[in-house]
Amino acid sequence: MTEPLQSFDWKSSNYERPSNTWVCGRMCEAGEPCRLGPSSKGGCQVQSQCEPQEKDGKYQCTRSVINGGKCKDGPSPDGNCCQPDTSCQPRRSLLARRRLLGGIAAFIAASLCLFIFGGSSPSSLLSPGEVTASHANFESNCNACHTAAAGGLGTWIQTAFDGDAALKDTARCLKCHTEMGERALFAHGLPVNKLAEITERIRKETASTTAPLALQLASLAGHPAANDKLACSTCHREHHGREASLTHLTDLQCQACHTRQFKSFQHGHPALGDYPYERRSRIYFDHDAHLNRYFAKDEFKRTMPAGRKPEACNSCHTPDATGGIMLTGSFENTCASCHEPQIEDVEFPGVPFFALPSIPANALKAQGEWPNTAGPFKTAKLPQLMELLLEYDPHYRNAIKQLGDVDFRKLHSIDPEHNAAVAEIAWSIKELLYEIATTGESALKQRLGDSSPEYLHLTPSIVPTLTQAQLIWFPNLATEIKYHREKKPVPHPTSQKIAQQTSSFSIDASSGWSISESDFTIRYRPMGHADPLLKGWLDRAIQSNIQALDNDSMWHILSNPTASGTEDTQGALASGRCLMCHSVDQDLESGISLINWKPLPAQQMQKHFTEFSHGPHLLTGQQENCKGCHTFENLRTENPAILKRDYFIRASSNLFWQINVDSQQTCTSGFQPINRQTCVTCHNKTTATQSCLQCHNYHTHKLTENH
Amino acid sequence: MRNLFIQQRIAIAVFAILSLMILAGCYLFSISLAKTSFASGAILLTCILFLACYQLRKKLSILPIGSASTWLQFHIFIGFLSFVLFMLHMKMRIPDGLFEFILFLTYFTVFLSGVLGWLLSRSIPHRLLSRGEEVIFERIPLHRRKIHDKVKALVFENAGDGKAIPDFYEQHLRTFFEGPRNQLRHILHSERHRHQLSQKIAALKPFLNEQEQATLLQITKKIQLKDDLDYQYIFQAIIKAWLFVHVPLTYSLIIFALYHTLAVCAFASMSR
Repeated sequence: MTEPLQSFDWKSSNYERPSNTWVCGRMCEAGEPCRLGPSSKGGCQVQSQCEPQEKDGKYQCTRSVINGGKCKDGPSPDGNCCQPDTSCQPRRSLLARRRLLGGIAAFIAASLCLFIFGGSSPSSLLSPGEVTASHANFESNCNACHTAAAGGLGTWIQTAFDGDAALKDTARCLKCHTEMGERALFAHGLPVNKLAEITERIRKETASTTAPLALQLASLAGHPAANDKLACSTCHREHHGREASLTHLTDLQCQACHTRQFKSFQHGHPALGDYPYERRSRIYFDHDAHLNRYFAKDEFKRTMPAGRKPEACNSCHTPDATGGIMLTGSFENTCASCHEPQIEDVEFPGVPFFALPSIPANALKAQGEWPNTAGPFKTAKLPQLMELLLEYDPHYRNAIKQLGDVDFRKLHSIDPEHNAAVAEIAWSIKELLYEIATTGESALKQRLGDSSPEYLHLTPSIVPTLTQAQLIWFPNLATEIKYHREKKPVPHPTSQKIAQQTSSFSIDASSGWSISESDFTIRYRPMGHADPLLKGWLDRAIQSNIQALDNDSMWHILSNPTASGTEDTQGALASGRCLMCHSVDQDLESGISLINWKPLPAQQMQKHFTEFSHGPHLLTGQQENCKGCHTFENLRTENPAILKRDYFIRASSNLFWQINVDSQQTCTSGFQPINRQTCVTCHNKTTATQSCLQCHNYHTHKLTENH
Repeated sequence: MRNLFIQQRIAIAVFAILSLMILAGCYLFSISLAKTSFASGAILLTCILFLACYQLRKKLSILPIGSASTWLQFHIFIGFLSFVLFMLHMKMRIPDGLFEFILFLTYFTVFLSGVLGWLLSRSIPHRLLSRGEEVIFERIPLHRRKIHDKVKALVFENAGDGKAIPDFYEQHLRTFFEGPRNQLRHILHSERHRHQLSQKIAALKPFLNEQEQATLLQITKKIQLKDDLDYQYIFQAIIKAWLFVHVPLTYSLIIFALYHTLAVCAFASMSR
C-alpha cells in the first residue's frame, strides 16, 4: 500500500481555487508553489528581496514584518539585499486562458461582422448564396432587390421591424417584371372580386372531397388571405444557386389557399369541364363534318373535284417550335384546294360600290347627259358608299327630303311633280363624280369625314375607277358642271366625241374594280382569299359605330356568315363570307373588336390557369395520338344547326360573336372536351407526373388583361 | 442504475418525439407558404442562447435556478435538439454564401466539440477510476515534483555507494520524472513504455546488491505511481481541452447568429 499522493487535511492541503485568474509560476514550472500565490492582477507576491536603506553610512534591512521581518545577515556593504530573488512569473489559469480565448474569438467574430457590414461591397460576403441565372446580372447589386441595402445599420434595423418590407422588396421585383401588371400583388394577379367570384363558382360547381390530412393540419397555421397583397417572396425563394427553380411549389402548397382541396390529380381533382373549349376556336372548322362526312367516302369530290383530302391530323396541324401548341396550317395549304374556287367565285359580278340609277329623260329635261335613262335598277337604295358620299351634298339631302322614302327601282313611275328632285339627285351624282375626278382622294376624305372612316383608304382605291367611269359615262362633265353652276343651259355633245373619248380608256380588272356598262355600276369583286379591300374594310368597320353598321348595306352583305343570296337580297356572297370562318372577338372592358384572321399566332399565346404542351404527347404516330385525346362528339347534327348552336351566337347588337361561356353551347369544333380520366391513364402516381405545376400556371396576368 | 437507464430511455423518447414534432411542424408550416426558415431559425437561436446560458449558470451558482447537473442534462438535450433544428434550418445542404458558411462551420465545430465533450465526459471518468489515484488536476505538478524528489532521494541517498542506480536514473529515469510523458500512449491505452522500462530494470537487477535491489524496487513503485499520474494528467487535460474549442467558439457563434438574424430580418423580410 503506497502512501496516497493527495492529502486533504487542512494543514497539508492548499485550498485550490481553479477559478482564479492567475496561478503561481513556480507551481507550473517545478510544482513548488509558494503559499502566498500570485496577486489578483497577476503579480508575484513573494518579496524575498528588500531595498536596504543607508543610515549613518551603513545599509540597513527594510523588510517589513509582514514579509518576514529583518534578515539575520542584513544587506551587503554595497547595499544589496542578501536574500536571493525567489519571485516567479505567475501564469494564467486554465479558466483564464479559456476566457481570454473566448474574448479573442468574440472579438474576431465581431470584427468580421463589422468588416462585412462596413465593406464597400458586402454582397459577396453577406449573400446567402448565388441567385438564379436569370438574376445573375445584378447579383452584386443588393439594392436592386432589397430595400434594406439602401442604407446602413439603421436601415437594416428599421427594415427588420417593418411589416411591409416584403411588399417594398416586391415593388423592386416589379420594376423589371412589368408584365405582371397592376394586380401583380393579388392572388393569381386577379382582382379580389374576380377571385371571389371564381372561388364561389368553384364552390358551387365542384363536389367537396376530403382534404389530405396534411392540408387540414396546415390550415391551422393559416395561409395567405385571398384579399391580402402577396409578396413575390411568398412563393419565389432566391439565393439557392444558379440552377435553382424559383417556381417550384409542392401540390400541397398550391392547394393551401384553395377552397376545394384534394389528394392528387388522379384522386379527387375536379373534372376538366369544357377544357380546352372554354372559348370557341378563332377559325371555325367542323372536324366532325369534314372527317366523317366529306372525307369519309370522298363525298367532297362531287362538288370539289380539285380538292385534296388530308392524310392525317398533321396534314393541317403541326407543333410550333416549342412543341407547346399545335399550329393550324395556312389557308393555302389546308383549305384552299376545296374552298378557294368557292371564294374566287368567278360567276359573281362583284359588290356594287357605285351605281347610276335609272332616271327617266323627262325628269332630266335634256339638261346634260345621263347614260342610264331606260335600264333597270335592281336595288331600292343606292350603294352604301355612294349614299355616304352624296349625303355631304345639301342639294341631294333636299332632294331626298322631298322624295321621302324613295325607291330607286321605281324612279320611272315617280310623280312628275318630283322630277326636279330627281334631277337634283342626278346633278348631285355628277357633282360627286366631278369632284372625285378633279381632286381624287381628298374629295372622299372631305365628304366622308369622320362619319364613316371605314370607307376611307380602301385598298385598292376606288378613285381611279370612279375617274374612269366619269370619263366613260360623262365625257363632257366638266363643261356640264360649268354651265350648271352658272345656271345656263347645258349644250348637248356630239356622239362622235363621246365615242372618241370612250375608246381611249383601259380598265385594270386585276385590281378587283370593274365598271359595268350594262347596268352602270362600279363593282368590286374580291380577288380571292384574304382580299385586302374586304379585309381592310371589315377591320375598320367593326371599329365604327355599331349602330350605324346595322344600317350599312355593305355590312349586311359582307358580315352575314350564314345567309346566302345576292346583293339584291342583302345576303352574303361566297366571296364575302369572311365571317363564315373568321370569328369576331370583342374586349368587354375596352370595347375594341377584332376579327380573328389567324387561328392563334404563337406570339399571342396568353397565360391561362391551365397550360398544355402537345410536344411531349406526340411521341409516335401522331394521328393515333390525337384521336386518343380528341374524340368526336358524334352528334351527327346538320352543319347549319351546329353553326347556329355553337358558333354564331350573336350579341344583342347582332354584330359580334361573343365568347360562349355556356359549356353546353361552347363550340368544340366537333370534338368532345378532354376527359380527365384520359389524362389520368398517363398522369398518375405511378408515373409521378401529376404535379399541379405540370398543367397549371399561378400567374394569369395576361389572362386578366385580355379577358 | 436502473433509474438512470429509465431516465435515458425517457430522454431519448422525448427527444425523438420533439424532433418529429419539429419536423412535422416545419413541414406543415411550409405547406401554408410560411417562411419555415424564420420559424426554425427563431427556435434555433433560442436554443443556442439557452445553451450558452449554461456557462452563465455555472458562474451564478448562488441563484436557485436548478442544479448544475440538471442544467447539464438540459444542455445536452437541447444541444442535440438544436442540431435537428440546424439541419432543418439549412435544409440539409451546405450554404453557398461566405458568411453563412462561416456560421455553418462555427455551429458545426461547437456542436461537434460538444458531442466530443459529451462522449469524453462519459468515457474518461471510467478510465480515470480504472487506474491510479484520483487527483486534482491543478495539483498534478506538485505530486509529480514530490514523486521526483522521493525518487531522487532514493537514487542519491539510499542507493549506497554503487553507481549503477544513479547512472540508470540519469540515463532512463530523469526525463521520465521531470514532466508528463508518454501522453499519446496513455491515450491509446498502450503500456509499451512501461514494459520497456520494466525490461531495462529487469536487466539491471542482476548487477545490484540487495540494498540496491530494495531501492530499485521502491523506484519501480514510484515509476508506476508517476505513470499513473501521467495517465491521470493526460485524460484530465483532455476532458478540459475540448472546452477550449467549445466555449470560445460559442461566443463567436452567438455573435454570428445575432448578426445573421438581423441581416435575415432586414433582407428577407418576415412578412408574407
